[in-house]
Amino acid sequence: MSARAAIRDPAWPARLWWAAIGVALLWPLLVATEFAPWRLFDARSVHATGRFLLSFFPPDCTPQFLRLVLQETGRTIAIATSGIALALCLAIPLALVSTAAISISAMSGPMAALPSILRHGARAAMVILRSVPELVWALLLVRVVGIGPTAGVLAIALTYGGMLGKVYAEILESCDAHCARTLLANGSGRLQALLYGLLPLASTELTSYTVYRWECAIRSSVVLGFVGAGGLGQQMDSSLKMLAGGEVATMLLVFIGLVALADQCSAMLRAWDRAPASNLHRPQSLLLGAAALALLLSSLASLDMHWGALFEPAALESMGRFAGEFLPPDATLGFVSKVSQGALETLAMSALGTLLAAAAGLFLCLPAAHTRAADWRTIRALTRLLLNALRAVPELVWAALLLVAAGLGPMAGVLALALHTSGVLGRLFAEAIENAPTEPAHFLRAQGASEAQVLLYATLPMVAPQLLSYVLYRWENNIRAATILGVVGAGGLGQQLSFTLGLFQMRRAATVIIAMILLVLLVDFVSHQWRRRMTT
Amino acid sequence: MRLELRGAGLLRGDASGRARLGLLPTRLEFTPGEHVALVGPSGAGKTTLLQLAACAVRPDRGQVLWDDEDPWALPSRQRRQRRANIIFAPQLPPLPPRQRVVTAVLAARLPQMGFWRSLRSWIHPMEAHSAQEALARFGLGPRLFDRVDRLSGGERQRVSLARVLLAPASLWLLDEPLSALDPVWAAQALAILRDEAQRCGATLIISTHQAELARASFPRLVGLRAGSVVFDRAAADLDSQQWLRLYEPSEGARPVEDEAPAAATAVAAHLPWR
Repeated sequence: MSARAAIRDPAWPARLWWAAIGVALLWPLLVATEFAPWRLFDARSVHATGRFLLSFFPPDCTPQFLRLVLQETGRTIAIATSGIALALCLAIPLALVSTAAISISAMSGPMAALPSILRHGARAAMVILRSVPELVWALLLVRVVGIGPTAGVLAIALTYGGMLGKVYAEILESCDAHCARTLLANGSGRLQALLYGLLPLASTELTSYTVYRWECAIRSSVVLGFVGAGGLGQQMDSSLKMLAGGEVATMLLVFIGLVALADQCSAMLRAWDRAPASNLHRPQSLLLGAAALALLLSSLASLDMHWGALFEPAALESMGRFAGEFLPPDATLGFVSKVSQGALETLAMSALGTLLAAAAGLFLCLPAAHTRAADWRTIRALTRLLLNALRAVPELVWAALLLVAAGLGPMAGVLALALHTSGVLGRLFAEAIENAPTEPAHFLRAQGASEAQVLLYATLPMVAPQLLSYVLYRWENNIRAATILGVVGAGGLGQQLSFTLGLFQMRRAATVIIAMILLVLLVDFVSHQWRRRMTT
Repeated sequence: MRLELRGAGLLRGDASGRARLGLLPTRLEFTPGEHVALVGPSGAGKTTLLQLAACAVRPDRGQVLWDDEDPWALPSRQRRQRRANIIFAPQLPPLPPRQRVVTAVLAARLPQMGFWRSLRSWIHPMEAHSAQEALARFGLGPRLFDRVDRLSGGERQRVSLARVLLAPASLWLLDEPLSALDPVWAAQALAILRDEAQRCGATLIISTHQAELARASFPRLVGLRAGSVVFDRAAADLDSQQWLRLYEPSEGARPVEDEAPAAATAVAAHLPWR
C-alpha cells in the first residue's frame, strides 16, 4: 500500500486547479447569459415552436415566390462580390504599405521613422476596420446612404478590407524574402520586387484565401439584409415577421445550396492548384479571372448604387455632420457601467456558445470522419449533411429563428452561436481526425479496445492541440458574431447599439462601438497568447 | 493460448493498393506456453505472419485459429472480446506523441476496463503503481510521467515491452521487440519477457534478426523466406547450412552474380556457432 501512495501524478494538482478555474468561470457565464435550456421545453414555448416548425412544411414553391427568391439570391451574391472587390481596393494598398517584405529601408537595420509611422498607421487602420463587425458598419451607413444595397456593399468592403489586408500582409511576410530582397538590392522598385519576387511564391495562397473570404461575404451579405441592405436577408426578415414558415424553409434550403456551391468552388480551385501539369494552369487561371471579372461586372450592373450621390459635396457634408454627432462619446459613469455589463453579456455569450459548439462538434465529428469501414457510410453522409446545414445558416439567422422558441435575451444568442459553430467545428474536427496518423487507433483496435476507448487513448491525444486551436479561432470569430446578435434581440452590446441608434443617441452609440472594438481586441489577444503557448 | 495457422495466407495488396509480398498459405501450430522465434531476411513475411496471428489483418487464404476458434467467423463484438487475450507489439510502437508514458502503458488494460473505468483512468491514471513496476523492470521507472515524445527510440521500444507485461494476455506476439535496444538491454529484455511469459503460461512468439539470441533463448525456431516457411525445428537441430540458405539473396534480388556468395559468407560470419 505504501508503494501505491508514493506515486503521485505530478500533473494532477495543475489539472485540478485548471478544472476548478473552469468551473468557476462557467458559472458566471451561465448566469450572465440567463442560460436555462429547460425554458425551451415548457408547454407554451413547445407549442409555439411546434406550430412554427410545422408551418415549414411544405416549403413555399409557388413560381412567383421562387422568382423572388432567385432575384434576391442574385442580389445577395452581387452585394458580396462587389463588397469583396471594393475590399480588395482597400486591402491591397494597406497590405503593401504595412508589409515589411518589400520595404527598402528595412533592409539595412531598423526602419526609418517616416515609413515606420506610415506602416503602423496602416496597421492600426486595419485593426479598427476589422474590429467593427460588418453589421455595425451597415447600421451606421444605412443612416448615411439610406436603405439599399450600397450600405451593404460598403459595410463588407470596410470590414473585409481590414481582414484581407492583414492576412495578405502576413502571407507576403511568411514567403521566402530572399528573391524580393535580391531584386530590391539590385535597384528594382518596390512594385517590381512584389510582382517578380513575391507574387509567384504567394499567389495560390492569396487566391485561395480570397475565395474563402468571398464565401464568408455571401453569408455576411445575407446577414446585412436584416438591417435593410436588401437580398435574401431582408426577405428572410420579413417572412419571419409574418411567421411564414414555408417561405423561411425555402430560403434556408437556398442558403444550404449556396454554401455547398461556394464549397465546390474552393474545392475545385484547390484541385487545380494541386494538379502538377503547369501547362494546364495558364488557361485555367485566365478562365478563372474572366469568370471573376464577369461576375463582378454583372454584380455592379445589377445593383443600382448611387456612387455619384455618395461623393457630392452635400453628401460629404452630411456625412461629416453625421460623424460629428458621435463626438465626444458618452463617458458618464452610469452609461459606461451599463455598457460594460453589455460587454460582459456579449463575452459570456461568445464563450458559452463556443464551448457548447466545441462539445457538439466533438460529438458530431466522429460519425462524420472517414475513419471507418463501409458499414458507416449512410450515417457518415447524414452527419455531413447535418453539419453542412448547421454551417450554412448564419448565426444571425439562427438567432432570428430561435427567438421564436427561446424568447428575447442572450440565451437565444448562445444557442444560435452554438448551432452555427458546431457545424463549422464538426467539419474542421472531422478533417483533423482524418488527417491525423491512424496507426495508434488501429493498434488499440487490434488489441480489443472499444471505439470510445480508442477515441480517448489514441485519437484525441493525436489531434487535441489542433482541435483546441480551431476552437480558439472560432471564439475570435464568435466574439464578432456575438456583438451583432443583439440587433435581432439577443441581448449584449448589439442590442444596446441598435437601441441607442434607434433613439438617435449617437454619442452613446459611439461608446458602445468603442466597447465592441476593445472586446474584440481583448479576445483576439487572449486567444493568440493561448495558441502560442500551446504550440511551444 | 493455442494458435494455429491452417493454410492462412495474405496475398493481396496493402491498403494503398500496392502489391506486396505477404505470406503464402502456411500451416503452423503453436501449443500453449510455447516460446518460438521467427527468423528470416527482411520482407520474408515475419510481420505479416504476426499480424495474421494477432487478427490485425484478415487472411485472404485459409484460417487463423485461437484455441480452435476462428475469430473472423465470430460477430465483431465477440471478436473484440477475444482480442483481449492477445497482445501484439509492433516494431515501432505507434503511441501518440503527446501521451504520457503512464497512460500509454496502462492502455494495455483497456479491453478489461470498460468505458467508465477507462474514462477515469484517462483523467487520473489508475493503477499507476503497476505501470511503474513494469517500467522499472525495463529501467524506465523514473520516466513514468514523461511524455512519449521525450523518449528515445530505444526507450520507446522498452515502453512498448512494459506495456506487454501489463496486458492480461495469453498470446504474446512481438514484432522485432529488440531492434532498437543495445546488446545489454536486448539480452536483459528478452530474459524478462521469457520469464514473465513462463510465469503467466502465455504463448510467446517473437520475430528477430538477432540470430545468436534467438538460438540461445528459444527452443523452437521458424525460418521464413519469400513468404513461406523454410524450416520449423528445434534450435539444437539447426545447422549453419540452413541459416546460410535462409539469408542467401534470392534470384530476383541478387545484385551482381559473384557478390552473392560473399554476402552469404558475411551472414555466416555473424553466426555464433560457425
